[in-house]
Amino acid sequence: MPLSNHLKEQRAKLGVNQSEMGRLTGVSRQTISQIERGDYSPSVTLALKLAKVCGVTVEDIFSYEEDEHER
Amino acid sequence: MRDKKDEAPAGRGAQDASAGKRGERRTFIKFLILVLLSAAGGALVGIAGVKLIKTGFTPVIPAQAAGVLRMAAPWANLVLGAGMLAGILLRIRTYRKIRAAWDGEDEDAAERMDEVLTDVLIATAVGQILGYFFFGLGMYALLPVMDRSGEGALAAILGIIFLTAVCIASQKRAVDLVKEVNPEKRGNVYDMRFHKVWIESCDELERLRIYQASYRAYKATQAACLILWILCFTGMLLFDAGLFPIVVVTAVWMTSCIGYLTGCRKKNDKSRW
Repeated sequence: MPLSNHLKEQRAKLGVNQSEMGRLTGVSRQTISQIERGDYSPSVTLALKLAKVCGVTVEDIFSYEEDEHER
Repeated sequence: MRDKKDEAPAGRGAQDASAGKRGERRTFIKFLILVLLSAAGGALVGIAGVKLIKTGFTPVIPAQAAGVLRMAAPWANLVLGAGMLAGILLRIRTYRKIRAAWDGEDEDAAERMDEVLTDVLIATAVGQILGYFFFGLGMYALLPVMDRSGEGALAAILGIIFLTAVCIASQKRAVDLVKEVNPEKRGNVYDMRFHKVWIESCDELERLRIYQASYRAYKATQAACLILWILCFTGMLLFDAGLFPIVVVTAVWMTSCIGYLTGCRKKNDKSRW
């Protein structure tokens, strides 16, 4: 998947677990877990919410890396 | 003058279009072969059926089997309900053990907890459908002896009530356990608007999963209806099953199809994605 993220690191800096992170952003623990594992690419709204809660920019959490064969 | 760089993508576009048309043709040929094979299969079943009828074949349940069915069917829901209750209580005990040891971070444990609750919800959904089936079967078996089989009829009625109570109570327990871990979830199983309230409290990923599962269910229903229609049609020809089963399958098929298509149109018209 071309979207990689540093949500786990940002969450660790914040000192909250997945459930608390979910509560802060209005989603379930499972959703936070799936995003951290790279199994789910969140909507723009959720990405912005996550960035706001972590006090960073969206680019600090998510980065898009295009695959060679996708060009 | 056009640059070579500009020409390259245009050339690739033409190649893609040509490959797309070839792919479309191949798909159409496959579809045509499938239609022809299905038609041949249908014709074979029809011919075999007509030949079978000409031999004087009529499907009759042996008297002994009918007797066993008559005795067992009314009690089936009581047995199923008791079995389900025991199984679900065991699964909930397993859930409680994993939950007690869960630190809020261990993803394997969290997944196991989700799996256990999903098992409970699947069991209750399947159990309830089986319950209706066994109730119908029980009543069908009792119909010829209804006036002298009061206890069988009572067992069938108590069975469906007991099974329904087990299913609803188990669903309520499973939903309450989900709500313990996910306090943002809303909805009460006893409320008629439960599904609507529940989906409204789901986040984007959960909704996506529900929608994907619904589409899979729609596709499965379409396939099942086609197969059932063939079976009902064969039953009408061979076993004198009448037109009623075909009408019922058509009604289910039409409901699924119209529900899906009108849902798609509504989404296109109004929904914000």
